Amino acid sequence: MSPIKVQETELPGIGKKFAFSLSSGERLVLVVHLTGEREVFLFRPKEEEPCFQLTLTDEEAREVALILGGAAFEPTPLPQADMVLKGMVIEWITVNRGSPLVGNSIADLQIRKRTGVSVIAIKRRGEIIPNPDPSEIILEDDILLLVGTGEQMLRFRQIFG
Amino acid sequence: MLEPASVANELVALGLILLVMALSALICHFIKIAPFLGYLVAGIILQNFFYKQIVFIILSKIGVILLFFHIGSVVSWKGIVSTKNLAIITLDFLINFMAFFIVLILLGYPSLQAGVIATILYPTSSVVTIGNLIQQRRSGYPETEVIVWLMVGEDLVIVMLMAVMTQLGAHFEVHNSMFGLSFILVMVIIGIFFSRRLSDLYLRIPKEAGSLFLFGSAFTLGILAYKVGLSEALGAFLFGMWFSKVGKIEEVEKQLGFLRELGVAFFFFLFGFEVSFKLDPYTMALALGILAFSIGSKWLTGTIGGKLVGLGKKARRRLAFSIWTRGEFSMLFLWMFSDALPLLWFEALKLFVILNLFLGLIGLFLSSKR
Repeated sequence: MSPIKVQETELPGIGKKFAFSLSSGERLVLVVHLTGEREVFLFRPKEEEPCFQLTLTDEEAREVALILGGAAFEPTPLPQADMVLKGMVIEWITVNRGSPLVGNSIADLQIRKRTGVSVIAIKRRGEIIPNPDPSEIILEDDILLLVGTGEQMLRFRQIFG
Repeated sequence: MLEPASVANELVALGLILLVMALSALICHFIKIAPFLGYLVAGIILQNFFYKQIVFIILSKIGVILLFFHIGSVVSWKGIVSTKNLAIITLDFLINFMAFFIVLILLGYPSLQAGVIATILYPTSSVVTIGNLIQQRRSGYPETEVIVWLMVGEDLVIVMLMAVMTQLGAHFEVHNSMFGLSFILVMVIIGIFFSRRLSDLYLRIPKEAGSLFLFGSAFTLGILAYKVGLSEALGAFLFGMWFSKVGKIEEVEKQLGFLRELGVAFFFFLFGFEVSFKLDPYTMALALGILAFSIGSKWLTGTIGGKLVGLGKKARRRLAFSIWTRGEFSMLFLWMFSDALPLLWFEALKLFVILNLFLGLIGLFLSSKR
């Protein structure tokens, strides 16, 4: 299967645009606004006006992404090349004020041991900390990049959500 | 010192004005247009009921400074110099600035007057146009990309024109070119060589201090630029450029976005609040004449430019209709260089800017028709 070519364009003052052609010949355009809002446009071949348009909030978009990514239900087996990632979910989680994560290190929290989920990066004040050290203290407003199965993610939410 | 009672009265007046502005923004939201037109109309209506407070001027100055800081911080030279963007930005400049400038010079106007008039006629309003694209939910349309890059290009050209015009000495009493040029040079050098370090330093500052640091620096450098014969907008733009390399603009945006929007809202409000029209036949004839020419020239830009960048027929039509509007930059230049303009032109351009803002809505309406 040939990889899907996603065309990424900056839209100053608006956000970022991602566009790609679907196997049906239609063109899917996703716009991530600076405000966090997402817009989805579907264009029929050679058409310059969308036949479908949808606006999602940041929260709705993340939820839809999880479902589309197969976190909740995976109806068809994935091709061999994707088997490694089968059942895996990658998710960004924002650490809110009052969260049990705040002020504790990854090691102290025993995130992997208790939930199976791995913290693969932390976004802090716009900066990415890749492969954070287990001693890294989690701060309020940090955004954690987590990887795990749908079930493990659920456990994470139950314990730390 | 102000009496507590008069402070209270001013605060009540400010509160009421903010509520009227909120109502106008709400109406604009429902009719799907950018809120700035609502602020302008609110200013025109309320000029008969309130007197001008110093806080209006301060807030609108803050708006202009933060707007130019924002423009500087989102500048992407890579995006601008991409062939198709550069082609339409150049075409737009030739048709909408150079053509007017040359005609005015041929008609015998001094170069400064011709430059100021052509600059007021040149820019589509990036604030209003991009705001309208968002309101009309057109961010994913094929022509939107062309429009926003055209706006970015125009913003940059405007900053350059501002530097040239202020150096030509239209409005400012102090215009020592050496100071002005040295200021630009130092700011650009810092921007090129120290931008990344300064931005990294900023990201280490605790959040609660970060916005104060940005605001304080933008304002101080803006006023410093004014003192050396440039404009505060240019100083803020050059400071904003220090942050353009980092690619973490959303952090900056989060910290200053609200204050900028409030300030820009007051900028439009104040323009409406202070505007008065002298509607004699000569002024109206001149205003309508330049209006017709300017709409025609933007239409031409959209049609030819759209073809140049490979847009289809419908997208070209939408592009041509979407770039009529003149807004914040035309207003700003009109304010800054009012002394340089003959009275007839000043009055006609004022009428032109207001009419164009509203006619721009017709353009946008037409652009959304299938």
